[in-house]
Amino acid sequence: MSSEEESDLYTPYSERPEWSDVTPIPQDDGPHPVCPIMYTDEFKDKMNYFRAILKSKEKSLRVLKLLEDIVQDNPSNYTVWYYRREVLKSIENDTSIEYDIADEMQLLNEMGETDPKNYQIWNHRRFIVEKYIGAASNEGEKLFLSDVLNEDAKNYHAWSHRQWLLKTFQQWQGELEFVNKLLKLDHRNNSAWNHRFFVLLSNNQLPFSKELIDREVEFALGYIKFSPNNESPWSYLRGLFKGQSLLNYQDLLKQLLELKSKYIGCSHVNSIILDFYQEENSKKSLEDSLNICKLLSETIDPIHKKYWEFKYNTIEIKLKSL
Amino acid sequence: MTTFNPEKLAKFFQRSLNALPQPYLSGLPNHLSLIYFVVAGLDLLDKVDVLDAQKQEIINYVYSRQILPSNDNPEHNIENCGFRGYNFIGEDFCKCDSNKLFNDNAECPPEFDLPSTPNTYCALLILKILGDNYERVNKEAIIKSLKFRQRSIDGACSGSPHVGDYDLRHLFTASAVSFMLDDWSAIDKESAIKYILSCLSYEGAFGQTPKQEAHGGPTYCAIASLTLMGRLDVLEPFKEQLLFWLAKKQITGFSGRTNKDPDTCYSFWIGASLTMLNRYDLVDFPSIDAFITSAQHEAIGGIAKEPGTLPDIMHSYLSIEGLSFGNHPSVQQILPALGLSKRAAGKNWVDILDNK
Repeated sequence: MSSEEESDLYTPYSERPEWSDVTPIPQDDGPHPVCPIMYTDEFKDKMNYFRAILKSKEKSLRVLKLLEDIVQDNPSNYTVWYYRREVLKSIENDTSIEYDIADEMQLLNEMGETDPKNYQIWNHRRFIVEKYIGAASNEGEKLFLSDVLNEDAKNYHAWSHRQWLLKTFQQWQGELEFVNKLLKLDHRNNSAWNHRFFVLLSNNQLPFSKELIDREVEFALGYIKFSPNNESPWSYLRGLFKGQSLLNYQDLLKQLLELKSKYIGCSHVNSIILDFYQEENSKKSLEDSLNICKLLSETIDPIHKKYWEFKYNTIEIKLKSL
Repeated sequence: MTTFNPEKLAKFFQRSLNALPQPYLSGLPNHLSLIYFVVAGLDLLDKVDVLDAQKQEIINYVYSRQILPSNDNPEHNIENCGFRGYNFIGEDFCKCDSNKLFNDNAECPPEFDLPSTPNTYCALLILKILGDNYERVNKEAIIKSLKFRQRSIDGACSGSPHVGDYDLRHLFTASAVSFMLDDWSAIDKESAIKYILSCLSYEGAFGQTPKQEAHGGPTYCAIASLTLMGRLDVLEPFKEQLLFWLAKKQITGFSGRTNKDPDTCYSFWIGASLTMLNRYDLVDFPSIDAFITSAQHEAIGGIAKEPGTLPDIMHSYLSIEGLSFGNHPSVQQILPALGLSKRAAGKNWVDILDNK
């Protein structure tokens, strides 16, 4: 809708008979506003009434409507959302006012779809789910998150909300399948890879057991073989060994060396082999490391040339001190 | 190759000072950050003198955002002290424009007047750039209020009362405010450090909260907080992998996460992280410079998040901060942990924070 059409439809609060008992309070920005934002007269009108309401501390259905009107224009306004929560808490105990919390979820669904990266909308959502709906929200929340991730599979807020939901209500079933579905759609989706790791951490401690690592290595290698230049499964593979030595996994090194000879020009396979060699810390392994650094800086990975030169120099110092 | 045009960018910042178009409405609750981008942007371009005539007005305007403790009972609203982004509650401008450190308006302070640490942080930066000496900042009240922001259960910080947004962003702004006011009594550093390290992901960089995906923004917040606390040493065991992750974020410009496209703002978040670790030499700077230059809008003068999109003041400012790490001749040197020029920061802060 253009702003012109909107103005046609908008009735200022000052012209609404049901608001005639409220005296609006204009904003006083002083004589020299700095970086003033050229927002509409409609927005000014709504905010003037909001100020009046903060003063009278009215908590009613018409106030909920006004607050909704404002957050639709300015969803990042944490003051308005906070007051909205105060109103909701208050009318919860007031039997004369009926408000269905499903309406609140409806508002959050709509706003969450149109503005999926707004901190305050997600924040309010978490509050409503936790306080009013609880574990019963699980299915609906997962459905909503699927919709949002369908639009942008790397939306950081949506993943954060999903992690919060899982941690809060402990309903983990089907989660790995959900990740797999997203990885099939886009195997470069690093957020989905991170989520797989998150799910592993829910019932496994670091350092991971050999059984778990074997299973996950196979999973990651499947994607690597499908697309060797996809950085995400490589990063995931490397992360599996957090808190333990790579040297216990010589079979993996053997497989990686085979892949290295196949994937000429793949920087990722070379950098993980480099990690093995560095850990080994022998004369031979460090010399091999230097060759890999050279290969990476001179041929395979020129944009990170300076990084590989730096690696070369630090390994060379290690070698000399052996 | 065209080169980055500082004159056009300075004009873009100057125009923004007088008016920001409607799409900036989403930035209204953090309005002080918008002023910071513009004022600090002019400062980095060595054009802060164009503000001379307006300087006092800007300072007064920033002070009009300060939430002061009540005169009658300072403890009554102590949790809400600090700077708000905007005058949402209808405070009278003139009453703020005074030298008082307490609020004697009988009706004030209302319980819904909420500060946010990012706004407090930006207020202190703007005042510093304009040469104000914090005489009208109620430091004690801000520090007392900050005490309520840190959660004892895990050391995380929120940005505002009643908002519940506990993460690394707000731990950083709380650290920056503590540093600038030279009073760390509000922050339990040990539990803050524990929280920071708990956000380290399997990829070797930091997520916004524990176990979230490694991301350039929170990685900056983690490293900057530790720098301000003087505790970068705790990163030593993780440094090798962290440097690898940071260096690998360079594509042409930097991206913020594995397998994402480059975005000019990460020339600050990633560039600053590397600079604080004393390793900006790992960067291919000509590519960063070229990426930023290609994102400068020919007619508007501002810098966009990527070439071919519309510029905005945040990407413009973060881009030139990014250029400063490579010693770009048109941009002043900055302290990455504060996002402030060394000129404005002054000798004291430079001595503490500069590792060059």
